[in-house]
Amino acid sequence: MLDMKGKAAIAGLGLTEMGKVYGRTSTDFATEAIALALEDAGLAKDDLDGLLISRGLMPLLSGVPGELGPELASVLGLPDLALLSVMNSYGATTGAMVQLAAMACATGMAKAVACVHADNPLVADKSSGAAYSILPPSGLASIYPAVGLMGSNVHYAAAARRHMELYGTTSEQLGAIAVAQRKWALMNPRAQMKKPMRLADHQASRMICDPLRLLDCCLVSNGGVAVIVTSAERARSLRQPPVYIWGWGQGHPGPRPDKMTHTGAIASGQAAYQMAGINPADVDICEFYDCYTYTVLVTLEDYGFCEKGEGGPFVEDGKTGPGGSLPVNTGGGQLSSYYMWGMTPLSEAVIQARGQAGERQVPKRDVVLVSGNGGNALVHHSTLVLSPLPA
Amino acid sequence: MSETRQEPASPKPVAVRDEDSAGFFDGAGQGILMLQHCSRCGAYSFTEGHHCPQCLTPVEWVKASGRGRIYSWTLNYQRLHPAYDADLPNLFGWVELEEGPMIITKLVDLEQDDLRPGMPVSVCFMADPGGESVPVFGPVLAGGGE
Repeated sequence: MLDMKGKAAIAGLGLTEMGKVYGRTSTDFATEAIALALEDAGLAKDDLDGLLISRGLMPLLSGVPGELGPELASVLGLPDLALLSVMNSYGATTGAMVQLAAMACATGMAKAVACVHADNPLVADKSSGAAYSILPPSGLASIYPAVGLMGSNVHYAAAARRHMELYGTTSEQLGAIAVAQRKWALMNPRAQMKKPMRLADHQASRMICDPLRLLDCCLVSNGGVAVIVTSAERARSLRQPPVYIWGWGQGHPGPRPDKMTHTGAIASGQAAYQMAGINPADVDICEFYDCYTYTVLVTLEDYGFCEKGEGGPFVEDGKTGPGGSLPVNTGGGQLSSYYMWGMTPLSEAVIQARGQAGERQVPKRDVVLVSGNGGNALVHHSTLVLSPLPA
Repeated sequence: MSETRQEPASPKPVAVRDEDSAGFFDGAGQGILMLQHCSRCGAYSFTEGHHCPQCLTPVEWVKASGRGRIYSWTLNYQRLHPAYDADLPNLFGWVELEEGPMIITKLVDLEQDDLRPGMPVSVCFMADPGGESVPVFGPVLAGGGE
Protein backbone atom coordinates (compact mmCIF):
# COMPACT_ATOMS: atom_id res chain seq x y z
CA MET A 1 0.00 0.00 0.00
CA LEU A 2 1.14 3.58 -0.68
CA ASP A 3 2.48 5.31 2.43
CA MET A 4 -0.47 7.44 3.54
CA LYS A 5 0.54 7.81 7.18
CA GLY A 6 0.09 11.38 8.34
CA LYS A 7 -0.66 12.78 4.87
CA ALA A 8 -4.04 14.07 5.99
CA ALA A 9 -5.33 15.59 9.19
CA ILE A 10 -8.52 16.60 10.95
CA ALA A 11 -8.52 20.40 10.96
CA GLY A 12 -12.00 21.21 12.23
CA LEU A 13 -14.61 19.81 14.61
CA GLY A 14 -18.19 20.99 15.14
CA LEU A 15 -20.69 19.63 17.65
CA THR A 16 -24.25 20.89 17.98
CA GLU A 17 -26.16 20.75 21.22
CA MET A 18 -26.97 17.04 21.67
CA GLY A 19 -29.50 14.91 23.50
CA LYS A 20 -33.14 15.83 24.03
CA VAL A 21 -33.00 18.71 21.59
CA TYR A 22 -36.29 19.11 19.76
CA GLY A 23 -37.66 21.05 16.86
CA ARG A 24 -34.77 20.59 14.46
CA THR A 25 -34.43 18.15 11.59
CA SER A 26 -31.37 16.06 10.84
CA THR A 27 -30.64 18.49 8.02
CA ASP A 28 -30.71 21.37 10.50
CA PHE A 29 -28.27 19.56 12.80
CA ALA A 30 -25.97 18.64 9.91
CA THR A 31 -25.93 22.20 8.63
CA GLU A 32 -25.17 23.61 12.05
CA ALA A 33 -22.44 21.02 12.74
CA ILE A 34 -20.69 21.86 9.48
CA ALA A 35 -20.94 25.60 10.16
CA LEU A 36 -19.39 25.04 13.59
CA ALA A 37 -16.62 22.88 12.14
CA LEU A 38 -15.79 25.52 9.54
CA GLU A 39 -15.57 28.20 12.21
CA ASP A 40 -13.42 25.89 14.35
CA ALA A 41 -11.00 25.36 11.49
CA GLY A 42 -10.99 28.99 10.39
CA LEU A 43 -12.32 28.01 6.95
CA ALA A 44 -15.01 29.64 4.87
CA LYS A 45 -17.93 27.63 3.52
CA ASP A 46 -16.68 28.02 -0.02
CA ASP A 47 -13.36 26.45 0.99
CA LEU A 48 -15.15 23.11 1.18
CA ASP A 49 -14.82 20.98 -1.93
CA GLY A 50 -15.82 17.67 -0.40
CA LEU A 51 -18.90 16.50 1.51
CA LEU A 52 -19.43 13.03 2.97
CA ILE A 53 -22.69 12.29 4.76
CA SER A 54 -23.66 9.70 7.36
CA ARG A 55 -27.34 9.37 8.21
CA GLY A 56 -28.56 8.23 11.56
CA LEU A 57 -31.54 5.91 11.77
CA MET A 58 -34.23 8.57 11.62
CA PRO A 59 -33.21 9.98 8.24
CA LEU A 60 -32.48 6.43 7.03
CA LEU A 61 -35.90 5.12 8.00
CA SER A 62 -38.08 8.20 7.76
CA GLY A 63 -38.43 7.95 4.00
CA VAL A 64 -38.37 11.75 3.80
CA PRO A 65 -36.95 12.42 0.37
CA GLY A 66 -33.65 14.22 0.49
CA GLU A 67 -33.22 14.10 4.27
CA LEU A 68 -29.45 13.91 4.58
CA GLY A 69 -29.20 12.74 1.01
CA PRO A 70 -26.83 14.20 -1.57
CA GLU A 71 -29.26 17.14 -1.63
CA LEU A 72 -27.53 18.40 1.51
CA ALA A 73 -24.93 19.90 -0.84
CA SER A 74 -27.60 22.21 -2.24
CA VAL A 75 -28.94 23.05 1.21
CA LEU A 76 -25.42 24.11 2.17
CA GLY A 77 -24.95 26.05 -1.06
CA LEU A 78 -21.97 23.98 -2.25
CA PRO A 79 -22.35 23.75 -6.02
CA ASP A 80 -18.78 22.81 -6.99
CA LEU A 81 -17.89 19.78 -4.95
CA ALA A 82 -15.10 17.52 -6.14
CA LEU A 83 -16.23 14.76 -3.78
CA LEU A 84 -19.80 14.05 -2.62
CA SER A 85 -21.31 10.89 -1.23
CA VAL A 86 -23.78 9.51 1.26
CA MET A 87 -22.06 6.61 2.99
CA ASN A 88 -23.45 3.84 5.12
CA SER A 89 -21.88 1.03 7.10
CA TYR A 90 -23.89 2.02 10.15
CA GLY A 91 -21.64 2.74 13.10
CA ALA A 92 -18.51 2.11 11.03
CA THR A 93 -19.47 4.94 8.67
CA THR A 94 -17.64 7.77 10.41
CA GLY A 95 -14.32 5.94 10.21
CA ALA A 96 -15.01 5.11 6.58
CA MET A 97 -15.84 8.77 5.78
CA VAL A 98 -12.62 10.02 7.37
CA GLN A 99 -10.64 7.39 5.46
CA LEU A 100 -12.11 8.41 2.12
CA ALA A 101 -11.66 12.10 2.94
CA ALA A 102 -8.03 11.46 3.91
CA MET A 103 -7.33 9.61 0.68
CA ALA A 104 -9.01 12.40 -1.33
CA CYS A 105 -6.92 15.10 0.38
CA ALA A 106 -3.70 13.07 0.19
CA THR A 107 -4.13 12.48 -3.54
CA GLY A 108 -5.17 16.04 -4.27
CA MET A 109 -8.69 15.11 -5.37
CA ALA A 110 -10.08 17.51 -2.77
CA LYS A 111 -8.70 20.18 -0.45
CA ALA A 112 -11.19 20.31 2.42
CA VAL A 113 -13.76 17.58 3.05
CA ALA A 114 -16.56 17.87 5.59
CA CYS A 115 -17.67 14.56 7.09
CA VAL A 116 -20.98 14.89 8.93
CA HIS A 117 -23.36 12.70 10.94
CA ALA A 118 -26.75 13.81 12.27
CA ASP A 119 -29.86 12.16 13.65
CA ASN A 120 -33.12 13.17 15.27
CA PRO A 121 -34.73 9.99 16.62
CA LEU A 122 -36.12 11.60 19.78
CA VAL A 123 -39.54 13.22 19.53
CA ALA A 124 -40.93 15.11 22.50
CA ASP A 125 -43.52 13.06 24.45
CA LYS A 126 -42.41 9.72 23.07
CA SER A 127 -40.28 7.20 24.93
CA SER A 128 -36.76 6.69 23.64
CA GLY A 129 -37.57 3.00 23.25
CA ALA A 130 -40.07 3.99 20.59
CA ALA A 131 -37.44 6.05 18.79
CA TYR A 132 -36.28 3.30 16.48
CA SER A 133 -39.53 1.68 15.37
CA ILE A 134 -39.19 0.24 11.92
CA LEU A 135 -41.60 -0.31 9.01
CA PRO A 136 -42.94 -3.89 8.77
CA PRO A 137 -41.10 -6.00 6.18
CA SER A 138 -42.57 -8.67 3.94
CA GLY A 139 -41.16 -11.91 2.63
CA LEU A 140 -38.57 -13.89 4.55
CA ALA A 141 -37.67 -10.86 6.68
CA SER A 142 -41.21 -10.85 8.06
CA ILE A 143 -40.70 -14.04 10.09
CA TYR A 144 -38.69 -12.12 12.67
CA PRO A 145 -41.19 -9.48 13.82
CA ALA A 146 -43.84 -12.21 13.59
CA VAL A 147 -42.19 -13.88 16.61
CA GLY A 148 -41.36 -10.61 18.35
CA LEU A 149 -37.76 -10.24 17.18
CA MET A 150 -37.13 -6.53 16.67
CA GLY A 151 -34.37 -4.01 17.18
CA SER A 152 -30.64 -4.19 17.79
CA ASN A 153 -30.53 -4.97 21.50
CA VAL A 154 -31.33 -8.67 21.12
CA HIS A 155 -28.43 -9.19 18.71
CA TYR A 156 -25.85 -7.62 20.98
CA ALA A 157 -27.31 -9.47 23.96
CA ALA A 158 -26.85 -12.78 22.15
CA ALA A 159 -23.25 -11.83 21.36
CA ALA A 160 -22.57 -10.98 25.01
CA ARG A 161 -24.24 -14.24 26.07
CA ARG A 162 -22.03 -16.26 23.72
CA HIS A 163 -18.94 -14.57 25.20
CA MET A 164 -20.12 -15.34 28.73
CA GLU A 165 -20.74 -18.98 27.90
CA LEU A 166 -17.38 -19.47 26.19
CA TYR A 167 -15.15 -17.41 28.46
CA GLY A 168 -16.96 -16.88 31.78
CA THR A 169 -17.40 -13.13 31.34
CA THR A 170 -19.75 -11.71 33.98
CA SER A 171 -22.33 -8.96 34.17
CA GLU A 172 -20.21 -7.25 36.84
CA GLN A 173 -17.33 -7.07 34.38
CA LEU A 174 -19.58 -5.37 31.84
CA GLY A 175 -20.64 -3.08 34.67
CA ALA A 176 -17.02 -2.08 35.33
CA ILE A 177 -16.96 -0.59 31.83
CA ALA A 178 -20.14 1.40 32.42
CA VAL A 179 -18.88 2.65 35.78
CA ALA A 180 -15.52 3.77 34.37
CA GLN A 181 -17.13 5.63 31.51
CA ARG A 182 -19.60 7.41 33.79
CA LYS A 183 -16.63 8.80 35.75
CA TRP A 184 -15.24 10.29 32.55
CA ALA A 185 -18.69 11.67 31.65
CA LEU A 186 -18.92 13.58 34.90
CA MET A 187 -15.95 15.64 33.68
CA ASN A 188 -17.54 16.31 30.26
CA PRO A 189 -19.82 19.35 30.05
CA ARG A 190 -21.45 17.89 26.92
CA ALA A 191 -22.40 14.59 28.55
CA GLN A 192 -26.10 13.77 28.83
CA MET A 193 -25.57 11.66 31.97
CA LYS A 194 -24.67 13.76 35.01
CA LYS A 195 -25.09 11.44 38.00
CA PRO A 196 -22.40 9.14 39.45
CA MET A 197 -22.81 5.40 38.89
CA ARG A 198 -21.61 2.66 41.22
CA LEU A 199 -21.42 -0.99 40.23
CA ALA A 200 -24.46 -1.63 42.44
CA ASP A 201 -26.43 0.88 40.35
CA HIS A 202 -25.47 -0.97 37.18
CA GLN A 203 -26.48 -4.30 38.69
CA ALA A 204 -29.80 -2.88 39.89
CA SER A 205 -30.66 -1.36 36.51
CA ARG A 206 -33.51 -3.15 34.79
CA MET A 207 -32.82 -6.03 32.43
CA ILE A 208 -33.35 -5.08 28.77
CA CYS A 209 -32.47 -8.41 27.22
CA ASP A 210 -30.42 -10.79 29.28
CA PRO A 211 -27.54 -10.30 29.86
CA LEU A 212 -27.75 -6.60 28.92
CA ARG A 213 -29.17 -4.21 31.49
CA LEU A 214 -30.28 -0.63 30.95
CA LEU A 215 -26.83 0.67 31.98
CA ASP A 216 -25.18 -1.67 29.46
CA CYS A 217 -26.93 0.13 26.60
CA CYS A 218 -26.13 3.45 24.97
CA LEU A 219 -28.14 6.65 25.01
CA VAL A 220 -30.34 8.05 22.26
CA SER A 221 -29.54 11.58 21.11
CA ASN A 222 -30.63 14.22 18.65
CA GLY A 223 -27.84 16.32 17.20
CA GLY A 224 -25.04 16.53 14.67
CA VAL A 225 -21.25 16.35 14.54
CA ALA A 226 -18.91 17.23 11.69
CA VAL A 227 -15.17 17.08 11.11
CA ILE A 228 -13.18 18.70 8.33
CA VAL A 229 -10.30 16.77 6.79
CA THR A 230 -7.53 18.47 4.84
CA SER A 231 -4.00 17.65 3.80
CA ALA A 232 -1.51 17.69 6.67
CA GLU A 233 0.15 20.77 5.22
CA ARG A 234 -3.15 22.66 4.91
CA ALA A 235 -4.12 21.73 8.47
CA ARG A 236 -0.90 23.29 9.78
CA SER A 237 -1.95 26.64 8.28
CA LEU A 238 -5.38 26.63 9.98
CA ARG A 239 -6.70 27.62 13.38
CA GLN A 240 -6.47 24.42 15.44
CA PRO A 241 -3.61 22.02 16.22
CA PRO A 242 -3.82 19.39 13.45
CA VAL A 243 -4.91 15.88 14.36
CA TYR A 244 -2.91 13.77 11.95
CA ILE A 245 -4.39 10.58 10.57
CA TRP A 246 -1.70 7.93 10.93
CA GLY A 247 -3.57 4.84 9.96
CA TRP A 248 -6.87 3.23 9.13
CA GLY A 249 -8.64 0.01 8.29
CA GLN A 250 -11.99 -1.68 7.92
CA GLY A 251 -13.28 -5.13 8.80
CA HIS A 252 -16.56 -6.74 7.74
CA PRO A 253 -16.80 -10.39 8.87
CA GLY A 254 -20.01 -11.03 6.95
CA PRO A 255 -22.02 -14.13 7.76
CA ARG A 256 -19.41 -15.82 9.98
CA PRO A 257 -21.23 -16.83 13.19
CA ASP A 258 -18.14 -16.31 15.35
CA LYS A 259 -18.30 -12.57 14.74
CA MET A 260 -20.26 -12.44 18.00
CA THR A 261 -16.95 -12.96 19.78
CA HIS A 262 -14.37 -12.33 17.03
CA THR A 263 -15.38 -9.08 15.39
CA GLY A 264 -14.29 -7.01 12.40
CA ALA A 265 -12.03 -5.11 14.81
CA ILE A 266 -9.43 -7.85 14.38
CA ALA A 267 -8.94 -7.14 10.68
CA SER A 268 -9.52 -3.40 10.82
CA GLY A 269 -7.20 -3.00 13.82
CA GLN A 270 -4.40 -4.96 12.18
CA ALA A 271 -4.65 -2.88 9.00
CA ALA A 272 -4.63 0.38 10.95
CA TYR A 273 -1.73 -0.65 13.20
CA GLN A 274 0.31 -1.69 10.20
CA MET A 275 -0.30 1.56 8.35
CA ALA A 276 0.44 3.64 11.45
CA GLY A 277 3.50 1.59 12.33
CA ILE A 278 2.30 0.94 15.88
CA ASN A 279 1.17 -1.90 18.11
CA PRO A 280 -1.24 -1.92 21.08
CA ALA A 281 1.48 -0.99 23.57
CA ASP A 282 1.91 2.33 21.73
CA VAL A 283 -1.73 3.38 22.22
CA ASP A 284 -2.26 6.10 24.82
CA ILE A 285 -6.01 6.64 24.57
CA CYS A 286 -8.86 4.50 23.24
CA GLU A 287 -12.08 5.96 21.92
CA PHE A 288 -14.28 2.98 21.14
CA TYR A 289 -17.75 2.69 19.69
CA ASP A 290 -19.74 1.63 22.74
CA CYS A 291 -23.31 0.99 21.71
CA TYR A 292 -23.12 -1.53 24.58
CA THR A 293 -20.61 -2.26 27.32
CA TYR A 294 -20.01 -5.59 25.59
CA THR A 295 -18.87 -3.81 22.43
CA VAL A 296 -16.04 -2.16 24.37
CA LEU A 297 -15.02 -5.44 25.98
CA VAL A 298 -14.78 -7.40 22.74
CA THR A 299 -13.05 -4.48 20.99
CA LEU A 300 -10.30 -4.44 23.63
CA GLU A 301 -9.69 -8.14 22.94
CA ASP A 302 -9.84 -7.82 19.16
CA TYR A 303 -7.43 -4.88 19.16
CA GLY A 304 -4.93 -7.00 21.08
CA PHE A 305 -4.96 -5.27 24.48
CA CYS A 306 -5.60 -8.64 26.08
CA GLU A 307 -6.11 -12.23 24.98
CA LYS A 308 -9.39 -13.40 23.48
CA GLY A 309 -11.75 -14.17 26.33
CA GLU A 310 -9.80 -12.10 28.87
CA GLY A 311 -11.70 -8.83 28.35
CA GLY A 312 -13.69 -9.27 31.55
CA PRO A 313 -10.73 -9.65 33.93
CA PHE A 314 -8.92 -6.91 31.97
CA VAL A 315 -11.52 -4.22 32.73
CA GLU A 316 -12.46 -5.38 36.22
CA ASP A 317 -9.82 -3.30 38.01
CA GLY A 318 -11.06 -0.04 36.49
CA LYS A 319 -7.98 0.57 34.36
CA THR A 320 -10.13 2.13 31.64
CA GLY A 321 -11.37 4.91 33.94
CA PRO A 322 -9.81 8.20 35.03
CA GLY A 323 -6.32 7.63 36.41
CA GLY A 324 -6.16 4.15 34.92
CA SER A 325 -3.45 2.74 32.69
CA LEU A 326 -5.61 2.52 29.54
CA PRO A 327 -8.15 5.35 29.28
CA VAL A 328 -11.20 4.29 27.26
CA ASN A 329 -14.02 6.63 26.18
CA THR A 330 -12.72 9.63 28.01
CA GLY A 331 -15.82 11.75 27.36
CA GLY A 332 -18.20 9.10 28.68
CA GLY A 333 -18.85 7.49 25.32
CA GLN A 334 -22.22 6.60 23.89
CA LEU A 335 -23.10 5.03 27.20
CA SER A 336 -22.88 8.28 29.14
CA SER A 337 -22.20 11.30 26.92
CA TYR A 338 -24.03 11.31 23.56
CA TYR A 339 -24.96 8.84 20.82
CA MET A 340 -23.82 10.21 17.49
CA TRP A 341 -22.75 6.83 16.13
CA GLY A 342 -19.08 6.89 15.07
CA MET A 343 -18.80 10.62 15.70
CA THR A 344 -18.99 10.00 19.45
CA PRO A 345 -15.59 8.31 19.72
CA LEU A 346 -14.10 10.43 16.92
CA SER A 347 -15.11 13.78 18.44
CA GLU A 348 -13.61 12.90 21.81
CA ALA A 349 -10.46 11.60 20.08
CA VAL A 350 -9.97 14.94 18.33
CA ILE A 351 -10.53 16.90 21.55
CA GLN A 352 -8.05 14.73 23.48
CA ALA A 353 -5.45 14.70 20.68
CA ARG A 354 -5.58 18.51 20.53
CA GLY A 355 -5.06 18.74 24.30
CA GLN A 356 -8.39 20.55 24.69
CA ALA A 357 -10.17 18.15 27.04
CA GLY A 358 -9.80 20.29 30.16
CA GLU A 359 -10.47 18.46 33.40
CA ARG A 360 -10.62 15.10 31.64
CA GLN A 361 -7.49 15.58 29.53
CA VAL A 362 -5.27 12.50 29.44
CA PRO A 363 -1.71 13.78 29.81
CA LYS A 364 -0.09 11.37 27.37
CA ARG A 365 -1.99 11.76 24.10
CA ASP A 366 0.44 10.88 21.30
CA VAL A 367 -1.53 7.93 19.89
CA VAL A 368 -5.33 7.79 19.94
CA LEU A 369 -7.14 4.71 18.65
CA VAL A 370 -10.70 5.19 17.36
CA SER A 371 -13.16 2.43 16.54
CA GLY A 372 -16.45 2.35 14.68
CA ASN A 373 -18.82 -0.58 14.82
CA GLY A 374 -22.14 -1.28 13.17
CA GLY A 375 -24.85 -3.72 12.22
CA ASN A 376 -26.77 -6.44 14.03
CA ALA A 377 -24.45 -7.39 15.52
CA LEU A 378 -20.81 -6.43 15.11
CA VAL A 379 -20.99 -6.82 11.35
CA HIS A 380 -19.09 -3.72 10.20
CA HIS A 381 -15.94 -2.20 11.66
CA SER A 382 -13.61 0.72 11.03
CA THR A 383 -10.44 1.86 12.79
CA LEU A 384 -8.54 5.16 12.79
CA VAL A 385 -5.20 5.93 14.43
CA LEU A 386 -4.87 9.66 15.21
CA SER A 387 -2.04 11.75 16.63
CA PRO A 388 -1.16 15.39 17.32
CA LEU A 389 2.27 14.50 15.98
CA PRO A 390 3.06 14.41 12.27
CA ALA A 391 4.02 10.92 10.97
CA MET B 1 -39.46 5.44 30.17
CA SER B 2 -43.21 5.98 30.45
CA GLU B 3 -45.23 7.30 27.55
CA THR B 4 -47.26 10.43 28.08
CA ARG B 5 -49.81 9.74 25.37
CA GLN B 6 -51.57 6.59 24.24
CA GLU B 7 -50.22 5.08 21.02
CA PRO B 8 -52.91 3.75 18.66
CA ALA B 9 -53.20 -0.05 18.95
CA SER B 10 -51.28 -1.71 16.14
CA PRO B 11 -51.97 -5.28 15.02
CA LYS B 12 -49.53 -8.09 15.74
CA PRO B 13 -46.90 -8.28 12.99
CA VAL B 14 -47.39 -11.39 10.88
CA ALA B 15 -45.31 -13.12 8.28
CA VAL B 16 -46.30 -12.22 4.74
CA ARG B 17 -45.11 -14.16 1.73
CA ASP B 18 -43.70 -12.69 -1.43
CA GLU B 19 -42.53 -14.27 -4.66
CA ASP B 20 -39.04 -15.05 -3.35
CA SER B 21 -40.23 -16.62 -0.09
CA ALA B 22 -43.22 -18.56 -1.45
CA GLY B 23 -41.29 -21.84 -1.36
CA PHE B 24 -40.32 -21.25 2.25
CA PHE B 25 -43.85 -20.51 3.38
CA ASP B 26 -45.31 -23.41 1.39
CA GLY B 27 -43.07 -25.69 3.45
CA ALA B 28 -43.89 -23.86 6.67
CA GLY B 29 -47.58 -24.40 6.05
CA GLN B 30 -46.89 -28.15 5.93
CA GLY B 31 -44.64 -28.13 9.00
CA ILE B 32 -41.43 -28.43 6.98
CA LEU B 33 -38.40 -26.18 7.36
CA MET B 34 -37.10 -25.14 3.97
CA LEU B 35 -33.63 -23.82 3.25
CA GLN B 36 -32.06 -22.34 0.15
CA HIS B 37 -29.78 -24.79 -1.65
CA CYS B 38 -27.25 -24.24 -4.39
CA SER B 39 -27.22 -27.01 -6.95
CA ARG B 40 -23.82 -25.89 -8.20
CA CYS B 41 -21.72 -25.92 -5.01
CA GLY B 42 -24.08 -27.70 -2.61
CA ALA B 43 -24.15 -24.95 -0.01
CA TYR B 44 -27.26 -24.28 2.06
CA SER B 45 -28.24 -20.75 2.98
CA PHE B 46 -31.03 -18.77 4.60
CA THR B 47 -30.99 -15.18 3.40
CA GLU B 48 -33.30 -12.61 1.93
CA GLY B 49 -31.44 -12.76 -1.38
CA HIS B 50 -31.82 -15.48 -3.94
CA HIS B 51 -28.21 -16.26 -4.79
CA CYS B 52 -25.79 -18.61 -3.16
CA PRO B 53 -23.51 -16.66 -0.80
CA GLN B 54 -20.66 -19.03 -1.70
CA CYS B 55 -20.77 -18.93 -5.50
CA LEU B 56 -23.54 -16.48 -6.48
CA THR B 57 -25.58 -19.09 -8.37
CA PRO B 58 -29.38 -18.72 -8.01
CA VAL B 59 -30.70 -20.98 -5.24
CA GLU B 60 -33.82 -23.04 -4.73
CA TRP B 61 -35.84 -23.93 -1.67
CA VAL B 62 -35.36 -27.53 -0.47
CA LYS B 63 -36.51 -29.50 2.56
CA ALA B 64 -34.19 -29.29 5.55
CA SER B 65 -33.94 -31.56 8.57
CA GLY B 66 -35.29 -28.98 10.99
CA ARG B 67 -32.56 -29.87 13.47
CA GLY B 68 -29.89 -27.60 14.85
CA ARG B 69 -27.85 -26.66 17.88
CA ILE B 70 -28.08 -23.64 20.15
CA TYR B 71 -25.34 -21.08 19.39
CA SER B 72 -26.60 -18.32 21.68
CA TRP B 73 -29.74 -16.84 23.16
CA THR B 74 -31.26 -13.89 24.99
CA LEU B 75 -34.25 -13.48 27.28
CA ASN B 76 -35.94 -10.29 26.17
CA TYR B 77 -37.77 -7.98 28.60
CA GLN B 78 -38.29 -5.06 26.24
CA ARG B 79 -41.82 -4.10 25.30
CA LEU B 80 -41.11 -4.11 21.59
CA HIS B 81 -44.75 -4.29 20.46
CA PRO B 82 -48.04 -4.35 22.37
CA ALA B 83 -49.01 -7.70 20.84
CA TYR B 84 -46.16 -9.39 22.70
CA ASP B 85 -46.44 -7.67 26.09
CA ALA B 86 -48.38 -10.54 27.63
CA ASP B 87 -45.65 -13.06 26.72
CA LEU B 88 -42.73 -11.18 28.25
CA PRO B 89 -40.02 -12.02 28.89
CA ASN B 90 -39.61 -13.99 25.67
CA LEU B 91 -36.70 -16.22 24.78
CA PHE B 92 -34.90 -15.88 21.46
CA GLY B 93 -32.32 -18.33 20.16
CA TRP B 94 -29.57 -18.32 17.59
CA VAL B 95 -29.64 -21.84 16.14
CA GLU B 96 -26.94 -23.32 13.94
CA LEU B 97 -28.83 -25.66 11.63
CA GLU B 98 -27.46 -29.09 10.75
CA GLU B 99 -27.04 -28.00 7.14
CA GLY B 100 -24.90 -25.00 8.12
CA PRO B 101 -26.90 -21.76 8.15
CA MET B 102 -27.79 -19.87 11.32
CA ILE B 103 -31.41 -19.00 12.05
CA ILE B 104 -32.51 -16.44 14.61
CA THR B 105 -35.73 -17.66 16.12
CA LYS B 106 -38.06 -17.88 19.09
CA LEU B 107 -37.44 -20.72 21.56
CA VAL B 108 -40.46 -22.53 22.96
CA ASP B 109 -40.84 -25.03 25.80
CA LEU B 110 -37.41 -24.06 27.07
CA GLU B 111 -36.18 -21.94 29.98
CA GLN B 112 -33.11 -19.76 29.76
CA ASP B 113 -31.42 -21.79 32.50
CA ASP B 114 -31.84 -24.97 30.42
CA LEU B 115 -29.75 -23.64 27.57
CA ARG B 116 -26.15 -24.50 26.74
CA PRO B 117 -24.15 -23.81 23.59
CA GLY B 118 -24.33 -26.89 21.38
CA MET B 119 -27.62 -28.13 22.82
CA PRO B 120 -29.79 -29.85 20.15
CA VAL B 121 -33.13 -28.30 19.25
CA SER B 122 -35.63 -28.91 16.51
CA VAL B 123 -38.16 -26.90 14.59
CA CYS B 124 -41.87 -26.68 15.05
CA PHE B 125 -44.28 -24.32 13.38
CA MET B 126 -46.43 -21.68 14.98
CA ALA B 127 -49.72 -21.02 13.22
CA ASP B 128 -50.47 -17.33 13.05
CA PRO B 129 -54.00 -16.08 12.33
CA GLY B 130 -53.87 -13.59 9.49
CA GLY B 131 -50.38 -14.60 8.41
CA GLU B 132 -48.10 -17.43 7.39
CA SER B 133 -46.93 -20.11 9.82
CA VAL B 134 -43.52 -19.33 11.20
CA PRO B 135 -40.72 -21.58 12.46
CA VAL B 136 -39.85 -21.67 16.14
CA PHE B 137 -37.48 -24.06 17.89
CA GLY B 138 -37.89 -26.29 20.93
CA PRO B 139 -36.40 -29.29 22.64
CA VAL B 140 -35.78 -32.38 20.54
CA LEU B 141 -38.67 -34.73 21.30
CA ALA B 142 -37.97 -38.24 22.50
CA GLY B 143 -38.36 -40.50 19.46
CA GLY B 144 -36.96 -37.96 17.02
CA GLY B 145 -39.63 -35.27 16.54
CA GLU B 146 -40.97 -34.54 13.02
